Amino acid sequence: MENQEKDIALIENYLAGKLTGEEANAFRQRLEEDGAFRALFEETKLLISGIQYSARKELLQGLRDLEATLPEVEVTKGFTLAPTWYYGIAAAVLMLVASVFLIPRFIKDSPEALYTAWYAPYPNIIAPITRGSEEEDAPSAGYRQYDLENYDAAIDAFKTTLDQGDDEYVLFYLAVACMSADRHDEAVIYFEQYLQQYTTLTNQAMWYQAMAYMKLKQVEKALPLLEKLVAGGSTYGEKAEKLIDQLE
Amino acid sequence: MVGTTLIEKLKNGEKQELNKVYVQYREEFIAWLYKSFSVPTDEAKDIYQFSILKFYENVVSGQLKTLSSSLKTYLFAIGKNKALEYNRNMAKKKGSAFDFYLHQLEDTGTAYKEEQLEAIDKGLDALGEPCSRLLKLYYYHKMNLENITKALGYKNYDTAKTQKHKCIQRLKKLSQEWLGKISVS
Repeated sequence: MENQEKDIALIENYLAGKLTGEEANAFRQRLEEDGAFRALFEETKLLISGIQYSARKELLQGLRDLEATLPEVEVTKGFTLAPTWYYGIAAAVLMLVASVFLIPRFIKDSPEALYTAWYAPYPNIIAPITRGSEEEDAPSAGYRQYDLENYDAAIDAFKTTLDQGDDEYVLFYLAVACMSADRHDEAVIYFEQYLQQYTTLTNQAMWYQAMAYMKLKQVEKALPLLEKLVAGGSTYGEKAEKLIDQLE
Repeated sequence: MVGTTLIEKLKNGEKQELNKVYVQYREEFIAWLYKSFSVPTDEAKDIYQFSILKFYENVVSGQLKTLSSSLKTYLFAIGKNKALEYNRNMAKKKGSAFDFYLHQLEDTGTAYKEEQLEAIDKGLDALGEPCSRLLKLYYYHKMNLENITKALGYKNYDTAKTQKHKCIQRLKKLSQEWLGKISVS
């Protein structure tokens, strides 16, 4: 068993390119001459590939699960498919449906009504609920309460976390939790703090801060944020452009 | 230096960092593939996931030690290549981007049949924890045995090393049960 363990380690080093030129040559010669070693080599290669395949599948599934929790990406501009006649008809039908059912619902709505139409809490991507953990620290408790939509409890836990030290994501989720708990005055302050200190979720923070201002009927403060998003050109920019149209 | 910190965290097994990266560039990336390469959004999501995966694999394999450009530029460069590759391949055959890329394993340089890889995947399921985790950490996430000892709570390095060998032997048997006999055709 010990010899085989050593041989497997040798094979791993060969596959990882860790052998010297001389060692690699000796390795290749042994492969040619030793049938049992060659079989072990092929078997080990296959097992490693299978393990990598399985782990890669697992990691991808994790990303897919995360993707499923995120809002749909809206893409509308600059897209060109083959210009066949049925795409034209489909587009016309969609526009008609939109004009009949959607546009009248939004046009000339108050900022508060638009807020209701557009607002959804940002999904928890940092610490999804896991069961069976015995001890829970403050940020985990916050994210769990956030997932359970107990926003006041989430706010308390997030504030406890921030009392112990800075945390970019906790600050962002604290602000969103405040919005969901109808504490928009606090939310705008936390978003301001986030935007001054951090950059990872800048677009998201600007978008939500603008929404909070709309809820507070401070459209004059929401508009510059939305315009910045439009200028940035991201998907949030496209959403912001639509929202500005509806606000005006 | 931000990139370096991220690379260190990923190498230390902090996989939640990958989720953060995923969310940070997701919308921009998908919209860009849609507009610039006419890749439908569902396929663009697959390509984005594989770009993230490729970035991760380059980090843990040590191919990517520091980012000379921004992380966004790096990811978009991978995405562009994958979108072009996807368009070329999808023009020739049916199938999702997910299926297309999943089988592109590069480490051993050998193309295996899907049923062989699936047999090992099932073998790993049957193997259970901590063996399955140990083997994935070592062979895919490229974590060294010292760190695996800590991560999985083994008594010491030698225990982890012995355990790794036992796990791979057990996996070999279990995979053979799924496939009949492992052999490279």
